[in-house]
Amino acid sequence: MTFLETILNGLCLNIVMFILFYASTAAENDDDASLVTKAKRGNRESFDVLLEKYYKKVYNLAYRYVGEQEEASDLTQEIFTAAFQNLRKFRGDSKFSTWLFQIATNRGKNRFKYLKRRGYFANKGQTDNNEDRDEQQPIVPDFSTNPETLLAGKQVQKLVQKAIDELDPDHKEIVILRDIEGFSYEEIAQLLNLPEGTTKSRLHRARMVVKEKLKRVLS
Amino acid sequence: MSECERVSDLFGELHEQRLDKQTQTVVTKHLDDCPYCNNDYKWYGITVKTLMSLEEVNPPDYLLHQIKAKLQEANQSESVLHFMRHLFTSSPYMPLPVGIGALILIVFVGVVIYDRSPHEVFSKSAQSVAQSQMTVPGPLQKTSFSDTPWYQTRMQNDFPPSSFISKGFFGDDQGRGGHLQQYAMSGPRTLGLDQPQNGVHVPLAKGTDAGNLTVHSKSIPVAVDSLKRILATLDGNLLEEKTGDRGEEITLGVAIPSAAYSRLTSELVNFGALAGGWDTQAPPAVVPKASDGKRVVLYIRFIPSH
Repeated sequence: MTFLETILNGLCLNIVMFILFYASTAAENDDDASLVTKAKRGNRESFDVLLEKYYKKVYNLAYRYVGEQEEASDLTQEIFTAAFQNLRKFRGDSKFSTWLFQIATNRGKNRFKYLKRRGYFANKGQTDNNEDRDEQQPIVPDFSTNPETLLAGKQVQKLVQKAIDELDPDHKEIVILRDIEGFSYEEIAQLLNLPEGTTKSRLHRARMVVKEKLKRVLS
Repeated sequence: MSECERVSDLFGELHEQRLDKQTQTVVTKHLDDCPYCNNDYKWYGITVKTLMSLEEVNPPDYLLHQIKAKLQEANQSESVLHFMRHLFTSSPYMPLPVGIGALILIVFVGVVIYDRSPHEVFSKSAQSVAQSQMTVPGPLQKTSFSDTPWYQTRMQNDFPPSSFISKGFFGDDQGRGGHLQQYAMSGPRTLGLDQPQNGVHVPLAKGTDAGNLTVHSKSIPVAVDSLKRILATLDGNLLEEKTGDRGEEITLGVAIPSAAYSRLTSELVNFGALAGGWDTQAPPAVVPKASDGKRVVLYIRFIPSH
């Protein structure tokens, strides 16, 4: 097999992979679109299919906003109820998932502001610290020697969640969407109705804030 | 702005490899030379990596069922609300023109019902019956009043009750012995709206001597107006209106459903219209029954009372 053949084979394989990926994405969107159309006509089962498809991701997003299971469940329920009630207003200009997460981010942001005003996160931090003390474990393990080990352990997860909770709402939503939920800049810009440049700069500032918090705690 | 600040602003783009080659070289060189920025950038990388590696949180098992139940609940209330909200705007239910048409129909039916009593709304069309069958009532049967003069009859029966004082249908103050003083019935006649007499169409008022009913009133125009109003409620219609030679008397020819005959006469009685002038010589006639569905023609003559 010559070098040229090898290159051609690789190229063909890439093209096939791209087509398959594109087809699967398109099929997924078509599936959503047809389900939405049926659900708009009053077919509850179609909406149930969409619910089953997205509820875990929406729950995760909600959890990142409120940082607590019960609140997250409540928020998820609220998001899907709002989506169901407003489904007729969905014109199909964007993907259903984008529209759904738009509702989720708006509701999540509002709930976060509400809880923050009521001192929910301050009380929660206090409770978490007490729990840690009860478990007689160090609140912050010393990672200074090997920061890479940060990625393991429940404590760090808690610390990161705490750092996110302390962000202001605009920074928090962008960190959640990009770094935790993995949305593209384009999708985030669409979700938050912001220019892509603003999205990038805002994310950078948010990351810097989280970095300072982590650095202060972990160093 | 110091170079360190400028470099730290580019951490994000450097981390995601979105910098152009030239800038990347400059930033990398700065990081190599500046231990503070180098450490800072390391922490930046760790932060992003940590955020991205946050574990997925599993929702509680009950959540899906809970949401479905909530949606079911919302669906029920939403369907009613949506139907009401979009009754006239949403095409699956009712297009706007149809909605407006329905609204007009509802208003029309409402007005008709408001104007008529329920019995009349659902009864047969009196108009069509009047075209087909017409009879004329004879004099009242003598069962209630016999030959007694009217003033004696009133005294005996005390009807209407002495406490009864009201404004009558005929616009006069009605009480015991009111202004409608005479109620006289002539003998039976065969009349028909379109029936020619001896082959010639004769106006109805000329075809009779207008003796069916005679009413004395102080204010004839008011009494006539009142009669016209009561006619509408009885589903009756005015056939003819004739003014007497001296201009004082007015004779009305009316057709009413036989079912309304007793009501009209009792209205007259109730408001003091029953009076003497009973034609005892007239042969007994059959009083129309409520159920025969025919229409009767009646002539009422209003004469001024002095």
